Amino acid sequence: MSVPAAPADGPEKPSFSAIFTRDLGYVWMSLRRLGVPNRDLEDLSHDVFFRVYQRLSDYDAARPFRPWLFGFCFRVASDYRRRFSNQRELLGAELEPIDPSPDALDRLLQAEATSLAQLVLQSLELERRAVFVMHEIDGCPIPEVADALGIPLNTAYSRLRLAREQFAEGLRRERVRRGERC
Amino acid sequence: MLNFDEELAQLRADVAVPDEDATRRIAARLSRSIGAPAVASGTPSPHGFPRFRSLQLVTSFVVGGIVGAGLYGALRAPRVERVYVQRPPAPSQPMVSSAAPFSSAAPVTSAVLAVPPLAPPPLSSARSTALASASAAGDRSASLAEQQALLDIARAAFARADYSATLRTLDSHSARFPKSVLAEEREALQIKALAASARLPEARSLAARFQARHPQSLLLPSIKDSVGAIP
Repeated sequence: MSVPAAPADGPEKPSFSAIFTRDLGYVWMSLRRLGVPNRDLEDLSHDVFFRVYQRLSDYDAARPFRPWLFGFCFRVASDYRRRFSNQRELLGAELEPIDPSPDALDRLLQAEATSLAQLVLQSLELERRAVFVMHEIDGCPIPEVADALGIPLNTAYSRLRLAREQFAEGLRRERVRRGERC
Repeated sequence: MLNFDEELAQLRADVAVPDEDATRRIAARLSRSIGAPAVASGTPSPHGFPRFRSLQLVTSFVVGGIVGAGLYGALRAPRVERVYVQRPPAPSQPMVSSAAPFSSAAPVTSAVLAVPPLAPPPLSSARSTALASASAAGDRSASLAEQQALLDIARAAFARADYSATLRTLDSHSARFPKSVLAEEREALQIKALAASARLPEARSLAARFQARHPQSLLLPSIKDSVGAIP
């Protein structure tokens, strides 16, 4: 299946097809790091690229592309979490047969985590996790993180600090729980 | 001092990518969401779907659409207007005089024809006319409140990004209130919900109709924002 063409690209902007081919893996991985379970990665990857398609004309080619793309992943993952937590309030017969308890998503993600680091990463608050992933894993400078997520620079620094503390504390607690030495 | 370099290295090394089938499915869904005109007709994709296959699909889609539209136009049954009437619990003299005539052309709400369970004393013609018109005004305002409430439910569903519930609620709104004074708001919300649920071609076509019908609408900018550009 061919990938859709871009709506209106400038000459220096990457084409939508090229973005899809090059960055699908990055989107997939970012969504996973932002707490989307494996079963929904395909749907949400589609949603990310659909939004990218709609907004590609807004992209400023002078700025780095991946932080801009991560912004879409963050918003889609954020909508997803909100929808997931609202799902049990809906009426009708079209509900997915999910565990209706509030922390069902967290439990699902914990079961999918393949390492201690992943498990602890999933325990971070989404807003902090986004900053942490962008900066600590993707290596994105904090001003770019703030810009991509649409938050003030100080907020980005503050979220990073809190995420680091929470990550370190999560590692320590999980090791104690497992009976490992800290 | 926070030191978790080892764990960070693990996270960086943990790379999972979609398999080829998943990649193909996502690309196919994107092509459908964005619409046939947006499908690239250039080089073959890296997943082995050559150009002529795309052309074949597009041609089948267009021919099928034309044939389907023709058949729909030829075979469509005439539209039937439904009138809902609530029967009184027991036969008695109607309160409504000729001032509020019953017409099958316009839907009549139940309260106009409702008869109280206890037989009232006979009313003068002027008084019964006044009562009937007050009752009709009450009905209109109740109906408007009902229309607004249903639209609010759709808006709430949209706000929590549940677009299928939004569209279902709007369908039910337009079935119950086809000539609603809130039709403009309803259509705008429908377009936004379609655009947000990756049904861009439908959203754009409705947006074009909306623009033709309400060229001065204050809702047009937000509609344009949601569908990108109106054809």
